[in-house]
Amino acid sequence: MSFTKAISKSLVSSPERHKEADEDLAIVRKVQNGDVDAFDALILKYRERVYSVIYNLTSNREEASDLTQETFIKAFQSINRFKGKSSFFTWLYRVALNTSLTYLRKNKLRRFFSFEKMVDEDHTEGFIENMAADSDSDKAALLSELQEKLNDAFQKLSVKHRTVITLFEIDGLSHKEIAEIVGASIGTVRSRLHYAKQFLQGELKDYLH
Amino acid sequence: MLSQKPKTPAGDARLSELIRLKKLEHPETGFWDQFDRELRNRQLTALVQTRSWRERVGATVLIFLRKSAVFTATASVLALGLFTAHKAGLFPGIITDSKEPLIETPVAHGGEPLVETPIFVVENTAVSPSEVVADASPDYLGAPSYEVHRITKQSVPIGYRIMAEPKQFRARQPTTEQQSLGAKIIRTNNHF
Repeated sequence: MSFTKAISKSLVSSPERHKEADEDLAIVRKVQNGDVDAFDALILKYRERVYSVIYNLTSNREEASDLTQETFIKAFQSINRFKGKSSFFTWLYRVALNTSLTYLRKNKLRRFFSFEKMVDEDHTEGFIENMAADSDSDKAALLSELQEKLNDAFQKLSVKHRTVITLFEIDGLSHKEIAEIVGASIGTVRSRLHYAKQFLQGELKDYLH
Repeated sequence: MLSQKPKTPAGDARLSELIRLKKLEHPETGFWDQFDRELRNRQLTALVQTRSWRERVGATVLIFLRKSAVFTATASVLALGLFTAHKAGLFPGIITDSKEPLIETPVAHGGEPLVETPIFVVENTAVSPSEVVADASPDYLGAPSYEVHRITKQSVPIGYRIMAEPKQFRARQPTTEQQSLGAKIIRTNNHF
């Protein structure tokens, strides 16, 4: 993604995010006032995104499922501490990241991968088809190979760099939003993103021509 | 890895496309149903879970011990440091158990102290007459009851601390009125 595209992405997403933030805040206030069931709407809205972020940090679907549940439990238990200074999704992502980082720190010596199935979708049709044609390989086999290489390259990144590239490239957040979530400056986020991309280009160079 | 610098705008766009392939990784059918059930159970457990008084007391004690352990460790290190410094003689004004000999007051031949502003200390050891500046009168109870040296701050004996300078010295006072010397004696030998 070019720099111009990245900027336009962050600008376009802002009004939508504001609307979302207001809706979330209304639900949060309900939960804070004792309507416990209202929290289900937040789970339903964010469970897939939170799961995706944690899965891409851990590359293990069982761990991701467990940590996503833990994230929502923690968010539910400490919902009264949410004052609305940031958007709910930023706050929830922070809880998810802290939960994941604590887990990864504790278990860094006994890590193993457990991938989700990679399901081909229409919007990648051309990209995968072209790659398969270039390499004279079966499309399904190529996807499987790419999945392994991608996850392997991701896990070679430090957690900080993995977090930033996941939130930017996969979850589609802006630099500003990522900066709020990880508690760093926008400059730091850009720098980490630059490093992570350079690293991944080196790791995945066989698939980039 | 970074030294290869393979980054180009085209390569960057292709890398982004490649990374976004990770979006294709989805949980299997039925995953979210199971996820919701498990989460609901955990949520309920978190809601109804109440700890017994033993667990609560245990948790409180544990928190207290964790916090006090840090304090105790800091205090111990500090105390050890002070003790070591004290033993090494870094605090000469403080009473120690040192057996080192007392530092004698420098006195000139004419009986006047070498240091201009004398202060006060009480000494009980046998001293030579030249070092005695003031003396209790022999006619009080038949024998001198104490001896007083004039010393300066620079020559305070290790075993003594000067608390105040004397205002008045009266040799014929009874021993019970030693405090009228104007100084507080914090360590003397038996016959004081």
